[in-house]
Amino acid sequence: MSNLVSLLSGLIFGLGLMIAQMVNPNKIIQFLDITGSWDPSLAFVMAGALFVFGLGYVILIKPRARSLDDSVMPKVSTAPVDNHLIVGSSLFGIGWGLVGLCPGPTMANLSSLNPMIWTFFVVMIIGLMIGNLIKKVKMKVASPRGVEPLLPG
Amino acid sequence: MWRVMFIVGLVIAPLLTSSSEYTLPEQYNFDWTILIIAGLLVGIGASMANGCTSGHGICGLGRLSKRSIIATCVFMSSAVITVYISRHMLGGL
Repeated sequence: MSNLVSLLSGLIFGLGLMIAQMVNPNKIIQFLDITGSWDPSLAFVMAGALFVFGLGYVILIKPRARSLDDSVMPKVSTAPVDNHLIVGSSLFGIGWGLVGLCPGPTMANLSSLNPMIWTFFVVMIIGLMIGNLIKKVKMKVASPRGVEPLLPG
Repeated sequence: MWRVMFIVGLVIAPLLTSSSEYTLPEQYNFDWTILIIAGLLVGIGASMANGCTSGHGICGLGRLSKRSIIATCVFMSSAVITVYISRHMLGGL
């Protein structure tokens, strides 16, 4: 059941990215290029997605203690804003701004079998592993006794 | 397992719309060096910050998470600055 729902969720997410053309790196760059030929359409995509998700979160998700696969619903992180968050987000933004690709649209582009997309995908996975290593090393330095692992995404 | 199924759905979704007007780009014009640097930065950044455009920008903002609001402001700003520098100061990389 939860697998089917996940598959459908992925499909709907992918269809949304296709219809909004967030799969097109040029369109992302045009959106980020606020001093050039700015294309604001993706702001509406994000606002629309936020509105639907926000409403769904309040009505459907928040009242539930457990998710469809019966695991405990992850709480909103109360961890403090730390250097990892700031440095990580800055690096992410630089990478995103350089080519106009972020993880979701990159995976939606995989079926093109284009070598550039696949190279970006593989390098991104390597980057994810490096990022996890950085987090572990810094955590050990900060607290030798170890701390609670952070929830992903 | 459900994570894999989500990605399967995401990967096959474009195939369903391929006969419509909503298609994937036909070609990509990236510089290989920049492509690889950007991929590394996106990967390292998303894992260090525990989220990306979807995780922080939609799910986190939608749940009014303080960390996500800050993360979204930071990556939006750094992406806009990056595009400004690469397009208007360095003349398009």
